[in-house]
Amino acid sequence: MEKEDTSKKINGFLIFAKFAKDNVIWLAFVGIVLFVTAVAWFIRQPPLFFLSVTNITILFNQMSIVGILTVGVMFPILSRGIDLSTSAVVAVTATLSATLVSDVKVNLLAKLPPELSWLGILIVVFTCLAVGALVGAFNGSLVAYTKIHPFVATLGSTLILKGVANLITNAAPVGIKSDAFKFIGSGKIIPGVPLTNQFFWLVIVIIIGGFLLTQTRFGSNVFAIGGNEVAAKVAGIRVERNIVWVYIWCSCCAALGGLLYTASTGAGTPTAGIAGSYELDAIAAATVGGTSQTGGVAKINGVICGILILAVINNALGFLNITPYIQWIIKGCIIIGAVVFDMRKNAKKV
Amino acid sequence: MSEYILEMQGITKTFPGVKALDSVSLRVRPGTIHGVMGENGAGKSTLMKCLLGIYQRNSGTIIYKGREVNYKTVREALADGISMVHQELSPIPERTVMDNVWVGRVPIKWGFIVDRKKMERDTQELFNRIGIDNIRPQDRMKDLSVAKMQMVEIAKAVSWNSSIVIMDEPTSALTNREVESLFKILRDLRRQGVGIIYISHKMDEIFQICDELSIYRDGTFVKNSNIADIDMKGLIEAMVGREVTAMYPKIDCEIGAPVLKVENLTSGKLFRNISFELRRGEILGFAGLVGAGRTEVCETLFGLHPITGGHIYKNGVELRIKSPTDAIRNKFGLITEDRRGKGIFGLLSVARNTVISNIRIYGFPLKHGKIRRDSKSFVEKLNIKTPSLEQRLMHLSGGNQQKVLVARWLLTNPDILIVDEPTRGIDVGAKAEIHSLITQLAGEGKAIILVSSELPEVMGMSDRILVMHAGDQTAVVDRKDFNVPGGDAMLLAYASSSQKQDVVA
Repeated sequence: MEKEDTSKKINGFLIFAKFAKDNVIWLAFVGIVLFVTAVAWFIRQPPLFFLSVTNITILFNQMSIVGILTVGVMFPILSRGIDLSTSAVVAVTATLSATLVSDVKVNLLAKLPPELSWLGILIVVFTCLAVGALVGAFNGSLVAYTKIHPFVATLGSTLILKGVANLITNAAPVGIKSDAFKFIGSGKIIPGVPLTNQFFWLVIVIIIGGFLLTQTRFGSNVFAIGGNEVAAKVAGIRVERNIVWVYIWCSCCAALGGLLYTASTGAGTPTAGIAGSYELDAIAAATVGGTSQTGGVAKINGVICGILILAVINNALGFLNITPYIQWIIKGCIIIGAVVFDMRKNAKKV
Repeated sequence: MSEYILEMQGITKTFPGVKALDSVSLRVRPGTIHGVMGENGAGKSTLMKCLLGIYQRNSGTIIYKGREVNYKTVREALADGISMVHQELSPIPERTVMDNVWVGRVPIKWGFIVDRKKMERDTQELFNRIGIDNIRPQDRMKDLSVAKMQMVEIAKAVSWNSSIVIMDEPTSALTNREVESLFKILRDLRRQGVGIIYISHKMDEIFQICDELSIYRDGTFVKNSNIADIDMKGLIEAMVGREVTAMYPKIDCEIGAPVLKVENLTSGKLFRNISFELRRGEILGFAGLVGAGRTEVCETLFGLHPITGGHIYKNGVELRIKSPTDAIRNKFGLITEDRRGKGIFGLLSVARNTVISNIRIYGFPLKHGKIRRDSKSFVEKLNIKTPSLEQRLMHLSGGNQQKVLVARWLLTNPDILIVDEPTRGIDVGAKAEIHSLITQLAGEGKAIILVSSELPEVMGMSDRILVMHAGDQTAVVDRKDFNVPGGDAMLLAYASSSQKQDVVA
């Protein structure tokens, strides 16, 4: 009897330990939030601005584009690859959409009767997503069929896309005036809620990404490919085809990010995304969120948390008036720490 | 000094929730080959890791050369003269043999320059000492056969002036002839007074080479015996703790219509002109030495290598198989020889590993309930030992991993099942289960191709045997012709010469 009691106690402890282990990333997130709040309370008036609705709204809006890129890039990482070209895709689609919409350039919207402007916007959106899909198919084919290392393949396409983005606008920013187009990114679709539409796009992308990951054959195949590519082939998975789709998904997410960049800032610049190193932030967020660089491990809720952690750090360091240089140092440490932790957890025996 | 060179007493090692070793002992005399026997999970490798300092034991003493030792790292153990040749070799393929032998401790001249001449000289001396005459120190590691790599690995172990050499399943990738030359080296080492700890699942080898045995079961020490005082039946009983009856439960089952016909199948330089017919309910064995091309034939049938000549017909219709996906669509299944490399997804769950080849039947969105139900039924049917369906496959033992792979292919319900080395590295109990499973499948009318390097296994299981040598088919022998005294010698003769024999049909 006594023995049973202890074993029950041990069991309870083990369940708690397992919960803590599975959700350690969220505990870390809570820790970071508490720490930042404490520091803010310590040095700054008004207290608790960090947790105020205003600030949280800012934070959510700020993290949207990088967040969308993160959900995109987690797939290549899961498949044991990488995609460095996401920010360059942002630049291309930002400049492309701006050029299509702008008054001085193509001015697509003005060529349509006003009641059909939604159609114009739809055309712009689908053009950009198609460009994204094309870039993804290019990257994916390079990786899958020529067996070029994904790092090199996407590094190459990054340079190509940077060139394209500058060619589109002649290296100058292009402003847009269309409120209908801006609404996609900076509009507020729910009256009374201060969150902008770009945040809801993030939510949609997370839902689709999570669905792909856990509820579809595709997701299941990507896990297998990342875990053991040869075994995946022997198990009858069309490895090459799936890898192409992985990169298409990633670049389409990035293309959406580019659209939202133009729509929310009101201008498309050839340095959109690139200047802020969005691609690295996205890879960092996915990694912090437990997506294993050695492939085969990823969880959507981990990635959500990774996005939040990176956003909180960016936001907090900003409003605490810490210089960007120190921000970089802190971010670097957090990423390395996360990867070291991840490697210990997923130490492969395979 | 006592008569033992190594005495391990009362070794206990626990992991969270598991007692891996419970007061286990091992005593090795110098100049003997000491077999360490036990099923997978018996604690053999844990015991070795405790000795080498890879694991820290919870209690117990290790006395080596008359003094108590307590290694914290492998390097300390090596420097003291205890070395191990692991089952999975870890060569540096792009470097030379001598670089591989002296890696981490290359000889140096003038303080910092690598003395390649001395390295070469030392390697040659070492090879001479232990009787390796067919490997040159300058050879690239990647150009060597697995057997030769193993020799290099042994030379490396000896090069530490070891008094104890531990060998973990050294023959799992070797052919009979290569095993002979390995044994010659081991006997030479024994003569030089080295104590050899020999871990193996292969009974006949144990009786051939070992002087003494220590037998373990479920983390406990069962007994210690001189080789002369024990027979195979007694040994198996001690290992398993129960009586194991038929090793090869071959049941003659009804052989039906031909399913598969292969004509002059060729794949580049891998193999040439393989022809055979396979019927429902038949088990066709592939015999041959390592490198004969048996695995390659299987993988080509399964779409992993390009077909450069010949035809494959199934039920009279010619097939074009360019990828495993094509093969699976035509109801082929392949249980691969390279379980870790080409079979399992270690990071994925038992359930996911079971359904992965058949994932398309689970619809969109995936029916997780059905996935769980199907894999659960196989876990029960095949007696797979796993704490849960969500357990990552890498945490299961080799035998259970193999059963999960069997389950994966059974789920696709193939007409033709290719099983390549199905029992490699698997303990006796699980072996028997896999064998009876294969026989049972044949009984259900599936056509089976069985590849094995263990001649008794192919002979025990097959209705017909196709023998290959260096990429050529040398014979096809019926059961009535090989199931006679001297049958094994005949097969071996076919396997070791490229002389084409008359096909016995």
